[in-house]
Amino acid sequence: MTLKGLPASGGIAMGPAYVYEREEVYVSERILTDEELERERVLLDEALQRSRHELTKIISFARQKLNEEAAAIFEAQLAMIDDPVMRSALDDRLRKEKKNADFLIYDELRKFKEILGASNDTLLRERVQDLDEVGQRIMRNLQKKRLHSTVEGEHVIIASQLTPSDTILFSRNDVLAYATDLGGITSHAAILARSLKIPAVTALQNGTAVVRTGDEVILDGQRGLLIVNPTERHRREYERKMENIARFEADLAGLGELPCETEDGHKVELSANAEFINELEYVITQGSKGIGLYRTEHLYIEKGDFPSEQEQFIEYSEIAHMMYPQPVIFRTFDIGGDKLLDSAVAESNPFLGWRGIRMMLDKPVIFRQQLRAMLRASSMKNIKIMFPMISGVTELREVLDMLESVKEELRKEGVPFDEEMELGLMIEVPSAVFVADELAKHVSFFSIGTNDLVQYLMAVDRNNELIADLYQEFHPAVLRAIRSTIDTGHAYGLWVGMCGEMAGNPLATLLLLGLGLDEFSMVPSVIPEVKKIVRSSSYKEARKVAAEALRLANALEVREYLSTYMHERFPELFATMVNGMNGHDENGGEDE
Amino acid sequence: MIEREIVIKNRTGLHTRPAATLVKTAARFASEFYIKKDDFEINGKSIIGVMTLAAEQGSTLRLTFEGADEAEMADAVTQLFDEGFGEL
Repeated sequence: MTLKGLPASGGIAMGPAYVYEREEVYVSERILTDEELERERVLLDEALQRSRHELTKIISFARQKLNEEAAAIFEAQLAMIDDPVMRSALDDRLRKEKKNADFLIYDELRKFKEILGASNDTLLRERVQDLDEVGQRIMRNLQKKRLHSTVEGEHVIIASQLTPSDTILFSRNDVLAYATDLGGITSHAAILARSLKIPAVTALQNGTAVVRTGDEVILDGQRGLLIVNPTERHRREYERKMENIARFEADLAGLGELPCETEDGHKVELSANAEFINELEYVITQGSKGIGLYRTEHLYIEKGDFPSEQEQFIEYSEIAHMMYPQPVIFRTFDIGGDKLLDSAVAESNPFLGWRGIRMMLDKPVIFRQQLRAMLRASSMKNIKIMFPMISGVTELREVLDMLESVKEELRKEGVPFDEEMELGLMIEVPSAVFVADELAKHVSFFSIGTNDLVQYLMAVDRNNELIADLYQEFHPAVLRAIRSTIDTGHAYGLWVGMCGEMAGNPLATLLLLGLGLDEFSMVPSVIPEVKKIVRSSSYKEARKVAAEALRLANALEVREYLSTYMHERFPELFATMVNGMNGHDENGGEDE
Repeated sequence: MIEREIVIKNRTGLHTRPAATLVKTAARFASEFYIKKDDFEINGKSIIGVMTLAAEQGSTLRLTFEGADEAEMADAVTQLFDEGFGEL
């Protein structure tokens, strides 16, 4: 029998099922005698101590297997157990009301959960879950119920739902995979499963009703399937898949240091899209060659206002330093009018409105500040600047004139900067595609912003549910625009990169490679896969794929061609990926 | 008693990780420690209290320390805020 759920974490697992039923902690209110009260105090201390101990083990395990962020959730829970205000409230009430400790804890936490739950801050509201977990843990220890999270041998855990600590605890015992009846793919447990690289399926609905502990199961994390009591044929098919995946992962692990080069020596650059400093460590470990797009808007968004030159200088220098000697391409502010304008003067068409470079040219003081900060941060000579939403030469010249005047200013002040800094622009407005030859005369590189380019070309707002499926990055018009941009750029001695989601779409890799793209900038998580494709192919092959794709008349044919070709050519690659789970969303994903 | 005024520097404010670091550090000292934001004051050694402050980047907090080791405590805690809890 095959159960169908949602794929939550890629990979395949085969083994005996273990149906996990978390014991409900029931709390009843009791009045205690003076004798019982004394004992209750001691029991409370013991329960807190045991809870502390459990959490400490989880924290050290999370730290080892995951990272500080994951451990932080549990550190906070530990701090909740030790919270002096909660403790003194409990002691007070024990003394005055003479009620049982588990009830008092339940009641005290209920109050805090109300306060936090009413907050406007989503992060705070999520902490209610943590208070719940902590409360459950203490009450469970008070009631001396055992924690059934140790399982002998390797199993596929089937549960109704899994809390984050369940997920972590089970992973200590060589859990093969998780399958839950409830829960979405963005739940904490699913996210942890992906970080731990444990295959998982959610939303089975009736897994716990149908499967019994000991049943043999196969969990297909990529397709969201749980096969109960598989046939011999199932078994053999999946064994083969698992072998391929294992070989492939071993391969991927060694890729970081290797150059991104085809079998016949054609080199391209793989870099990362980023916007926060704390992403950089991951960028580096994923084997990225620098940052192909550093979005600077978050400074504005977090502050609620444009940051000062000094604030920007500090951030840009830090990034340049951290990535050195790899290059970092900063994009100047690409903010929509909707963020700045009063709702009374809201634009009716913000997407086609006052945004990006247009806004910056209208706010020269702000723009100059940003340019100054970027130039000042360029002392290590690994910074480049690119401009968003350029629609033509007049606009570009205005920008370059302003940049030159800022440089003059700095020279007069005796402030050093990289005089040879490379400048580029984003090709995303369709007009730029048609005048790329004129634009090319003034810059050193183009970066194709497919997210917006596709929207403008297809006249589709990808956030509009009514027509979102008309957003087609494989539409012939898009492919031709890309080819034309690359060819024109090359003709004028520029290098051409891409920072839109398409650059990180493994389906598109060979196509883009064959079109002559020089740089692919993407979310760090997909870098290894793309690198693997490049290294396992020849430029000759890529050219053929590109030529064939460009011959086809419509998006559907192109997509089918690429899908079939890539699935056949790289079966293990597509077996471990779960659509949308590796930072690639074929409908465009986040804004560039 | 020592009073210090600080401004929150790190981007996501006193979210889970900094809050846990703050109370962990505060727990090392015997002195009392209170945090005031606008008119709302909480015990700085209570993580639930710190969380309910919902202090974001840019907000000004008044810290008070009272006790035998108030000087060391004030220094240690202020340093945490100054360094943005390691997130700068």
